Amino acid sequence: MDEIRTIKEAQEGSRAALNKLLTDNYGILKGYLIKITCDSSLAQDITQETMLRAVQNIKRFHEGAKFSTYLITIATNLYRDYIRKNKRIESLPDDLESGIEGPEELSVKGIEYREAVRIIKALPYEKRAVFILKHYYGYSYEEISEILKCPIGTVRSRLHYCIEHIRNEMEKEGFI
Amino acid sequence: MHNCKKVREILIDSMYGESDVKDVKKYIEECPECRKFTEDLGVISEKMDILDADPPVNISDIVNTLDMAEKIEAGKKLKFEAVCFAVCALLITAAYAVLSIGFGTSFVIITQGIMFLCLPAVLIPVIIKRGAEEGAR
Repeated sequence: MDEIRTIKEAQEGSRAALNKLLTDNYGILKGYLIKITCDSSLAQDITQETMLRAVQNIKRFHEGAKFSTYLITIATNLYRDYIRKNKRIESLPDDLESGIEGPEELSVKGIEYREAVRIIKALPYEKRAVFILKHYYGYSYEEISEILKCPIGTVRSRLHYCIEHIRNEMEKEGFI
Repeated sequence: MHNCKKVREILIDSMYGESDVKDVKKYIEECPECRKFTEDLGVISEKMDILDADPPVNISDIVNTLDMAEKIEAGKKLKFEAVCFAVCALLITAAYAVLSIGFGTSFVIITQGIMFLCLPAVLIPVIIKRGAEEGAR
């Protein structure tokens, strides 16, 4: 309810309302982009571009949708365009912000963290997007199909592929 | 009747709240491979959760974006107004020239007078509107 009111105020031109919407959803947006691009500086660029597009097109936002979904949809489209232009789907740099500090954490969690990044990076972009949206952000199959503009069946099969891939990789590394 | 592939799909769906395992519960209990798969899903979820943290909010990013959006919007508005002004000026000048030829000098003097008298009636509402827009920002 509160978000709907804030969106309405933003559509009427309130800067404070736009500021609140962006502040509330900044973490989700940038977190999603960091995970999907595996590149902090690219994630930063797309985050800013996404927020700019969202602000410029706020009047086209349809009631009923979540603002975070609106941002994620724009971000996904921008990243898809970026991949098309740069043709660098699989050559992602190893540059995810970890938030892991201290030597002890680096030795144990750091290895697990790098392994998780390596596994996620090995997934093709469309499949990686499905896994991230489902696993980290809890979107339903229907919502993911709307964000990625593909059928629900495709979303489901992509997620199954991701889990099988992750399982195989973890088995190889001896995690399971 | 289930097979392992189908059961595994149901297990993945159920891990993400998209399906219910109760129909395949008996099958899982009897199939060691599917039981192992269930355990593996738990480990996968736990291990992959290490990437779950989202970055903190960067206020300056948001402020810069809002400033940039306002700048772009103002630029667009200015461009639109300039085009409107040019078109209107062209049309008025053309119409005025045609009418001046037809009606002579007296028409020019009378219309000039009317224009100067009407000018505040046009400018004041525009200035008030601009002021209100600035205030809303």
